[in-house]
Amino acid sequence: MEEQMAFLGLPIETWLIVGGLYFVATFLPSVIALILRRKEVKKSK
Amino acid sequence: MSRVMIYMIYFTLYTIVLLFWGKSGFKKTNNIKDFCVAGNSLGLFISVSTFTATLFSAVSMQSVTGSVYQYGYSTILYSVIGWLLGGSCLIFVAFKIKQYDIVTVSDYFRIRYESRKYQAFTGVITVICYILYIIIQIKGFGIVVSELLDINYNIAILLIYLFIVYTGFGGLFSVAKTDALNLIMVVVGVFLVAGSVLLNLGGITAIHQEVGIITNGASLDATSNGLFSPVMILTTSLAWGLGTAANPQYIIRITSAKDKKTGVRMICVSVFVLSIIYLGLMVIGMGSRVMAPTADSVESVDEILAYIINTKIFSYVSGVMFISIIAAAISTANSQLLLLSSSFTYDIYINLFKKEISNDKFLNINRVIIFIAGTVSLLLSIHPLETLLIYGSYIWSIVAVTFLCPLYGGLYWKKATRQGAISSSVGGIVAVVIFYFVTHNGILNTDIHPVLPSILISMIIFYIVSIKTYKSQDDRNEI
Repeated sequence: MEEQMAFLGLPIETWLIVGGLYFVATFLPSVIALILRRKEVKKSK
Repeated sequence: MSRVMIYMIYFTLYTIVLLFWGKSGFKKTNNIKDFCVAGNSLGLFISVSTFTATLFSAVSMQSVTGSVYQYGYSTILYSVIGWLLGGSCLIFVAFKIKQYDIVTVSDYFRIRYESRKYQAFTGVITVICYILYIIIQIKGFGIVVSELLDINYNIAILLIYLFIVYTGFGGLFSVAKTDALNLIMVVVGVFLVAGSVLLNLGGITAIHQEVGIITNGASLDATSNGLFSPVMILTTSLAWGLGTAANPQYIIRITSAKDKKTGVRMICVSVFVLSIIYLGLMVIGMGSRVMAPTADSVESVDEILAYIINTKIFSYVSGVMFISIIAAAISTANSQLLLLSSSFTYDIYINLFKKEISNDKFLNINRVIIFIAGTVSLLLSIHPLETLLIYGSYIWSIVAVTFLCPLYGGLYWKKATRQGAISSSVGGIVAVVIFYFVTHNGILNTDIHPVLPSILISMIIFYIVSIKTYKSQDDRNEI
């Protein structure tokens, strides 16, 4: 069987797909809020 | 001291504290706005508590844990990530909705689309969807309480009925306050269980290695070694995500926040807190697979959490873990019961039949509706449904196709019209029903969740009808 690269016992591929999306989903609201806030400030100026 | 006795002591203490906390909400509630949106006065802490506790339901606590136990990390892709991404969409709502002075989400539709009938229609959809969704919470509660207190399932579900009816009576002030208590219980409980699992099994690396051997690597793979197709994962996640993004129970929490800034911050902080709690659930689900490699001892994987707490990691603090499961179910069910009663009274009864009503009468009618709707959900819960996670995604699909386009389109697109909104909601619901019927009866064999084609149909209808009717309105104005 082909040996898979792993971190903490979890394959790197799963880290990238599940972990990556999880990370993005966690911080996306804050990023969107910052963008919309900037847009609002720009518009008001 | 017996296990049942330990759980009973914790349960009694929790009941006393909950009743005490919830009581103060009754005093603060004097009018319609107090009852439905807490007088638009909630600060950041209480807003984050009520948003997080409402989103984190029995589905999260029991079904995510059970599904991680059974299928591994693919569960996170088709459920949790959808919820968190749905939270991101709510930021767009939070930036605009505070311009409208609303009591319910359907009230926003009345103002934006100038249609009382559309307000009533969306109110009816809200009432039906939430009655069905509360069943999930009641079932989740019933499973745990009957298992751990060693009582009949039907008696167990009667207990949650009393809890949610009581807190619902006090309006959003009462619900939000008890949500804060329930969230604390959830956080403490989840991390106690996760900590115990990690200590018992020697850390996360050991757990992953062991799960890899037990499941032949399937639980560690993003698609469970091909058990779920990427299309199925993506579209189910979409169902949950869009259902969250357009869900009245979260939008009401934005309007109940004291200002726009608090509403926006509430979502950002809540999504972060939720992602931490879900990490705990992943550890629990994976660890449970090592502790109980086969699910022979339980009827459904939704029961695995209660089973692990009761048999594998039992200690004197197991009562806190037990209460955390109950808290997750109660905090969501009481919010939903409150929302559906407000919607019935404000969007249907007052809107269509009785334009003028005193505050006292409004509160009394709401309490009667809470009682009736709670009873209906209770009766429907007597014969439990299949898996909570899949059932819930269908209800959220109806919510998504009904509310998504009219809500976001209304806030961000000036050409959105009443006709577009009504046709989009009706067309979307019809599409969900048809796709559900053809996929479940084998007429169409596909992994695609009904929400994907239905939401696309709903969007197309919304766009075409709005453009057509907006133009004709323009023409009339010119004449």
